Amino acid sequence: MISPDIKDFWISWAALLLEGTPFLFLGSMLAAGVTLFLPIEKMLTRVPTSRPLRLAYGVIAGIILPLCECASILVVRRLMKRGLPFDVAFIYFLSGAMLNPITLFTTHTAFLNRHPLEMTLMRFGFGLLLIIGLGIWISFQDSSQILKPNPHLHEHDHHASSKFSMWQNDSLHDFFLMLPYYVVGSAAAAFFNTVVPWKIIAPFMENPWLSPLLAILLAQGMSLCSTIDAFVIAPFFTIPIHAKIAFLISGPLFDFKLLAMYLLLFRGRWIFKFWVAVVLGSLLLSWIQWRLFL
Amino acid sequence: METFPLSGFLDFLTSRILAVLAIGWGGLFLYLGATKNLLFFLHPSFRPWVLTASVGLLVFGIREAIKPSHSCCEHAPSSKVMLLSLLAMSVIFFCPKQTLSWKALAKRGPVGWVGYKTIEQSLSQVPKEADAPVDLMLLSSAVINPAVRTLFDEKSVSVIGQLASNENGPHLSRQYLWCCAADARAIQIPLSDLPTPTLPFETWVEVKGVVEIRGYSVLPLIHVKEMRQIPVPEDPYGY
Repeated sequence: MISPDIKDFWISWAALLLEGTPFLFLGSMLAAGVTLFLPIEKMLTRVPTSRPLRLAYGVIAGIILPLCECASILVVRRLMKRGLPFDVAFIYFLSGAMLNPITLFTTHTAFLNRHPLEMTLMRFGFGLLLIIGLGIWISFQDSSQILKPNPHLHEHDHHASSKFSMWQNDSLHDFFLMLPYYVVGSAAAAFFNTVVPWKIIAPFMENPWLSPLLAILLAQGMSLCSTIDAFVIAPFFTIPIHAKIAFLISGPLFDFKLLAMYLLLFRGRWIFKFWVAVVLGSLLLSWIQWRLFL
Repeated sequence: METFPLSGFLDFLTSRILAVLAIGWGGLFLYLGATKNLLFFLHPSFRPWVLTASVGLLVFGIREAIKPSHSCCEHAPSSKVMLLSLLAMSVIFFCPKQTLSWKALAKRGPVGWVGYKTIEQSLSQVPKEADAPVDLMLLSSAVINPAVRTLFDEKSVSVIGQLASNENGPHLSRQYLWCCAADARAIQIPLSDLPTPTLPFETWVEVKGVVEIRGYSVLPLIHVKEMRQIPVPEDPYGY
């Protein structure tokens, strides 16, 4: 007889695995396909050299070519492998996860009965500000201090293979390279989802100063997809709007699932700095929202 | 020396481990996508994606088994990848085909009874005839929707859910999910005039009763006229 707590954890973990792994594979197919079949070299030559334009390039690419987080981290990895500068690639990833049209549409739908347009615009606006802030910070850093010296980031000699075989090979290798990280990250998210009692957290969520921090930690612990996180936070009428904004802008950028996958690409020390930057940036923007709007 | 035939097969498997794992994942996705078991984990809109991924994994996996595309350097899956991959497949395959317990849902606090139905959507779904089946989510939208409140007040409806209880007494509950079972939330509508002896909690029932609207921001109440046990639905969740 399995204890109900273990069964709940098991069901949540299996559900998260089933939700994410198909997209992890489809993302790896897409990532490999993009780099093999599209004229990446031509696109790379058009990457601007000035910092503000590179930032804009990454943000706009994320908005018009969106992918879910699990899939886009693979695309980013492949694009970096082909020579896309780290700052542009990472800003594209952040922008695609948070500012994509599907996420904005679901945010609008989730808040239909409470300021839908305002919440959607605030998620977009504050999310954009957060990404710009992070982008500026990242663009001033040395990528060799951020990226892991990764043996998996070298190019193969594929001269003897057909393009389809290369696609097959790259897709499978990317999928199985990323899978262990997703398995561990989803287990952590399932544990958080089934063990942490919201009812204990909820009273603290009413404190206007404390609630954004708790909302950020909740979003990062729950590891929800950015396309559905608004449905989870919208029904909590007692949580202040600025805490909801903190929840919505911090979750897509950093959570257990992503942490596990970041560990494949980035150095641990930099991941910690990035986490601090996401938390502080989200806190600051949510307090600004609290003092200025709604 | 005579070679044990199994060892040859195992050697072949080892040399094709990437293909074996890909076919395993593809087969698992195909099995779940093609059966109703998937409904215990994911929103139905995910089914096409699961099936698409299964086709991709099977095609690549079978091609890889016939003719390995790449066998260079350190790129064969490590033992860590193999173990975690097998663990993840086992977690999915052997997982109990059940919904989350009410205890787990209760830890998540308030139920999600508003947010995604527009007034137009709600109004178009309110049945005209008496005792017609009504979705629990739709009924709960009366909390914030004055038009739905007007249409449902004193209306006789039929609702499906699980018997539950909280500090305010007996309820009819159903779990709703947006993406996967990990984000399931419960909607609970209070019941009164339950027939005695009452059925055990968590029993799936069909309740016929009259709705009492109790005002803005308060969940409606169902005065039970008739209640019967039903089998667990093929799709246990609402959407």
